[in-house]
Amino acid sequence: MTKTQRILLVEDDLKLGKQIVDHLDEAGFETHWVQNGDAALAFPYRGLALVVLDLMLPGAFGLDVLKHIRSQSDLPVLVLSAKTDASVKVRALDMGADDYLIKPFWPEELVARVNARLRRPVMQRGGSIEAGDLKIEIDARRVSVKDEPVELTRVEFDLLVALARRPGAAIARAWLCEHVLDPEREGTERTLDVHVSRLRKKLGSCGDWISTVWGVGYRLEVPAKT
Amino acid sequence: MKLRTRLALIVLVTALPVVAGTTWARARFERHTVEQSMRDIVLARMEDGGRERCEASPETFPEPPWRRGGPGRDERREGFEHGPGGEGEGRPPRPRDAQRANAERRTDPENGASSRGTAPNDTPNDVERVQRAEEPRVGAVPERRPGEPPPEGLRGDPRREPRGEPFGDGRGGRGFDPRRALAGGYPQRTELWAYDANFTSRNPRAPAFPADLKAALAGGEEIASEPWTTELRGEPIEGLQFAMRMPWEEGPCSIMLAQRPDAGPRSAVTDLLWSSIALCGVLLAAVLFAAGPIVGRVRSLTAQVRDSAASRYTTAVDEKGKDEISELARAFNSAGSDVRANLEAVETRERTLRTFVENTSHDVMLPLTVLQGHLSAVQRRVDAGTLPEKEVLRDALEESHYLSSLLQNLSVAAKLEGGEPLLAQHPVDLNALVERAVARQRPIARQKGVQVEFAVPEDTLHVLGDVTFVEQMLSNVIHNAVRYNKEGGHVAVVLEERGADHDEFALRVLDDGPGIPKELRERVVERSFRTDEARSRAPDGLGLGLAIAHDVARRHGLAMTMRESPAGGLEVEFTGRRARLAVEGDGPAA
Repeated sequence: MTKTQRILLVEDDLKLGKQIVDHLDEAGFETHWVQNGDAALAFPYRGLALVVLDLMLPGAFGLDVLKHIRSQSDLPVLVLSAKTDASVKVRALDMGADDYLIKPFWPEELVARVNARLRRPVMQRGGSIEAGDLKIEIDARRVSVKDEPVELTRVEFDLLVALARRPGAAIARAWLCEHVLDPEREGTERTLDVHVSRLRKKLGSCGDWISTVWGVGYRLEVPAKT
Repeated sequence: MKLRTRLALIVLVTALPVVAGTTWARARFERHTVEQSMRDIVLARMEDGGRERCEASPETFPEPPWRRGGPGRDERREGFEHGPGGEGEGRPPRPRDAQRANAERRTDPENGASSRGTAPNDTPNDVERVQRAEEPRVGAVPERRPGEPPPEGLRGDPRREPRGEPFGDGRGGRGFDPRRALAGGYPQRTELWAYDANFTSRNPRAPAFPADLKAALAGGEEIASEPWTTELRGEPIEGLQFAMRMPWEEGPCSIMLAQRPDAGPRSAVTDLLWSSIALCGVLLAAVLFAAGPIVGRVRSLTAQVRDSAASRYTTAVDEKGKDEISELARAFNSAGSDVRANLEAVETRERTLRTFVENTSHDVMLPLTVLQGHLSAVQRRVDAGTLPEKEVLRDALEESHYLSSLLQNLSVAAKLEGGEPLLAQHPVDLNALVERAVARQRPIARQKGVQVEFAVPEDTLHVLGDVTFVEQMLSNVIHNAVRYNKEGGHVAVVLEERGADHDEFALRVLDDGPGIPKELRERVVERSFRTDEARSRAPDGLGLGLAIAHDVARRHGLAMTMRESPAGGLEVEFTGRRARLAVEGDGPAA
């Protein structure tokens, strides 16, 4: 996040709106707040990173605003809904909402949802993956840390690629066993743990990026750039 | 319209045309009979010399007998009897006539009983008149000249009517009293007029031929008749006049007009009319009498139905009998028991709802009370100038989180309890659902120091169902794992593809908390949140949440199994078939 991202909040409730603005600002966003549907329709969407839209609005109905936004841009829309009725949520999703949040929600939950929407793929699929000091050339099957090449076995390399393709996401142990371990040999989760342990050592300073996730498996977490 | 009124109307509406038709037919028949007998009489008399007399002196035919003087009365009578008897000759009755009259008199007693003018007796009646007329009063009436007023003392007595202009005097039947004739069968006077084929009479006193009768004869009828009115001392008299063709077609006497100041048959028609009306009356009374018990039973049934309705259909009505009314009663009893069953179902539902609302209020009040307690504790610490305890704040947050979860569960429970089928069958993005459910529980888990992690496959997995229910299902299980975990504990949510073609999926929630003993796990699955004791805060600490999760899973065709997790806590697994979509990625992707 090199530059402050702008978020439009469409929320008619003053208390809730104020809280959301505070929390988003605290999380490092620049929040514009409009309190009714008509103002939301008139708002220029250019340059916005995301819209947080309450479906229950005076003036234009929330879904109308959503339709208007979708007719103009692809910008992510996070819908707030007090309704437990599935059909409204489904309609919102059908009309192009990217996610929804049911009231009451935690401020932390909201920020997490916003961040999830704005999360940009750090690495690319195919070709090469680059994250901080770590560089993976997939086709050439070469890995380097701080430009120093690292010698990896086939399993270790596949394991690293599997984790690096979805950085930040935990990958289930069973999936890794099935897709990474040599199918010819007896592949158990214990074997996987041994491979991970070796990989961590070989990666040196980047070895800590691979974390064990309790009950799930492993995850590659790239620290935020400083 | 009431039943009896309707029956009475039907009887009347049916009977009246019948009575009218019968009366009309009877009148027609009688008129026809009278016509035929009149024709017979006239023809007989004309053939018996009348024709010759008429053709000899058509200007005077039939000449009034009293012109001839002598025993004019008798002559007159005879003249009547013989029609054109008086031709100025004044001759006595011929023996043949007398014989014939006697012969006819002999037939009289046979028909005497009904001789008041019914049609078949018309002929003897006429004869009778003639015969009676012959008997008395010879010479009782003084002679007088035509047009001379009768002596005052004789007025009113037809037999002694001196003005009684006889047969053919043109003044029409004043020689008798039709009232008496009608009442007692006294002789009537029939006047006879002769016309030629062109309906003109040589006799200047003859009335103009009646137009309707003329038309009828011209139309080919042999005889025709119509009502005719004359006067007797200023009083109108109803009579009949007949027009008939003679067998000969030429001469001044080929068409005869007979005027009879007597509507005799009408009395018989009147009798028929009255007897028919009387019959109608009897029929009406019989119908109304017969309808009485039916009306009574219907009224009794109505009263019973009202009583039954007033008692909310708990009492049945009397079904005795095998007729339609009993069938109605049985039908009512059947309908009544249906209504009763429906009423009971509605009442049960209402009771359930009331209990549900009461329990819900209780369920909500508890966490709210706890929350208020925590918040007051914080307030006290702040007032005392110290920082609030971290644990108290955490508990307050957890309680408010629990409250929110509880309300959502109650909302879901209300829908499930209402027995609604799951109408919504949308593709639910399970990857997004897992991420959302975890994000929801993470804040409170962080407060408790419990780590919540999740893993989803790279491909998006879908299941068909109601997104609200499925999310509630998963949230409940995660919430349960967080809520009963200890600080430093872990919860993991893993969504995996299963099966050879990855057509199935498994969604596991595992923790390293205290777990649930096997027998309690079974109870959670077995019992229903519908029962009162399975409410949110059951003594065993297993609340509404797991029961709802189990119910929602069942309704979506998902298998929910609980086992001990590898870490000794609880592992809940949902397995089912994934929904393959034509176009993937309708929802938020992780």
